Parts: sequence; C-alpha cells; structure tokens
Amino acid sequence: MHELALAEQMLRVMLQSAGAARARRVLRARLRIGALSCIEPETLRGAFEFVARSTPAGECELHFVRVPVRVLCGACGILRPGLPFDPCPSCGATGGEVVEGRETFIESIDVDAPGDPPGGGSER
Amino acid sequence: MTEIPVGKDLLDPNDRAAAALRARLAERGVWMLNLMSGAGAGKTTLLVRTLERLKRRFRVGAVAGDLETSRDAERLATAGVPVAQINTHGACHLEADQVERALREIGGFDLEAVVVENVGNLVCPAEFDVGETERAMILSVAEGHDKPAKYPLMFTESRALLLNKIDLLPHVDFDEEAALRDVRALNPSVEVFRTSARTGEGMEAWYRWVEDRILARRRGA
Repeated sequence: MHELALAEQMLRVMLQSAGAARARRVLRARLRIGALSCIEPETLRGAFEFVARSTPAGECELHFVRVPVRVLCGACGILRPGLPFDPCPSCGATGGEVVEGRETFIESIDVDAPGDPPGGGSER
Repeated sequence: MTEIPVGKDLLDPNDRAAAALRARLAERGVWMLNLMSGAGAGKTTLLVRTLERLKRRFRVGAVAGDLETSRDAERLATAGVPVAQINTHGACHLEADQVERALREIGGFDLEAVVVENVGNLVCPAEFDVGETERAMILSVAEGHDKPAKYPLMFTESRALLLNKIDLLPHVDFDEEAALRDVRALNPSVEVFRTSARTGEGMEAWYRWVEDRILARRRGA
C-alpha cells in the first residue's frame, strides 16, 4: 500500500509546481526511480491514476527512468554496477558506497501554461 | 505545452515535515528513535524491556504504529510510560505528520526520549523519514539470513542492527556470518547487537547504546 502514499505526495509536489506556473493542466511527468528504492513503477502508476482523478493532473502521463544501482568500490574506487555485497568486477572486493539507485525524484513536468495554444487533448 | 523543471523528491512533503519535526525535537532536547523491522521480529517485546530500563533514568515515551488495533500500545503501556497509538488503516509505514500528532498527544516534546515502533514491514518504512534522530532495525534469526540481500534499503539506512531471538539459533538454519557479511557490505559503520529480548542476553549493550545517545542529547549534542 505504500505506492498510494507516494502517489499522494507526488501529486502534491506536481500540483504545487504547476500552480506556481499558473498552469491549467499537468500533461506529463518525468520521474527518476532508483532500483534500490522500494517503488514499483506500474503500481505507482495505478495509484497515481486513482489519486489524480478529477485534479489538474488527471490525464498526466508518467514517464519513468529506472536508475540502476551504482556503487563506488571501497577498495579500488571505480564506479561499478550491482549491490555493495556483489564483488567488484575490477578488483573483486565487496563493499562500497551506493552513489546511484536510491532516487525517487521528479525531474520535470509538462503543463498547459496560460500562454500555450490549446491542444494536447480535449479542453475540459 | 511548457516543460517546468521540478527537481524535487517525490516524497518532498513528508521529507519537509520530517525535517521540521527533527529540528523541533533537537531544540527541545528530545532524542527520537525510529525502530523498524519485519512483522514478528520481536519489536514490541524488545521495546517493552527497553522502555522499562530507560524509564529508571529518563523521561521516556513511545509511539506505536500498526495497521489496526491498539494491541501494541497496550503492551508498550505495561512498561509504565506514556504511549500513543497510530493506526495506519492499511498503510504499511508511518509518516512524519502522524508521528508529530502522536507526540503532541503524549507530551512528547517535554520528554527526553521517544521510541517510535514503526509498522512491521522490511520495505516501506525505509522510504519514509518520520523525523527521527536515529534509525535502528531488528532482524530476528527466525527470519533467515538472506534478508539483508533481499531488502537492502533498510539495512543501508540503519545506525544500529539488533540481531534478535538469538536464543533460537540452535533451532533455525541462520547463517550469521553470511548475514553480517551482507550487512557490513551495505553499511560498514552499522553497530550490531546480538540480543534475545526473551532471555535478556545481550540487552545490556543495547541499553548502553541508547542511553549514551540520550545523554549526549541532554548535553546538547
């Protein structure tokens, strides 16, 4: 059930940004979701459709970029894929700091701004 | 159509509430622990023992998160400290604003230490900052040694790991070395406590770790 809570939070962030730009509708959102985060994109999409209904983001399409986990090897210092307990392909050591793969990030949204010509679907 | 950069975490509203709560707790000199674990790891038993010990020296309270029922709060209250119950009604984690309300219910901002018993779940609570000063988690040996590899996020995010129910080690196939190897690879600085809340084994070291932190906060750290 935690995707529903995430979807509610995400909707608030998006509507805030859209409101600040005086946009009428949010049409698209670009999200970066790390593989180590506990988010399942398709579940989040379903939850978002549910919470965003009859809001200005009701028809918003979610675009996910899955960010693979990358670890800075504690022994040889290269950036490597996999989890910290997997051996480093370069030096064979385990351990290191997770530098990518934990993100749950909204990069940008596309909106219908006041100056935009109408389009991108039926108005209202 | 116009693209607007957002550049925010999708958990931004909760993260902000958590940061505000953490600042308020620091200002009031309250140390707050977020205790997480899967369901059935022995959180409530361990917490009752811990609260019984802490209340001898400190003004302590607890917040119990559960899907439904007030059973955990009732069990925690047997320790003789103020307890607030949060029922999440299906949600698998606690959020910062819920914890803030629960703290107000028990006068939490006038206490020295509060322990938050998160909802029993190895996944979601790791994503939601509740405004805690520190995070700890429990893994019971009955759950199996593959849990750190399967649920890495929570193990990465915790300052202390309690390996609980060690009295059951002779009866379960738990490879302690393998489990700790994975844990240390994920989180080299984590403090590990081997405990049995039932027999009391190893609990003294855990109490000291908690007490040291409450004392540090009392000194203004």
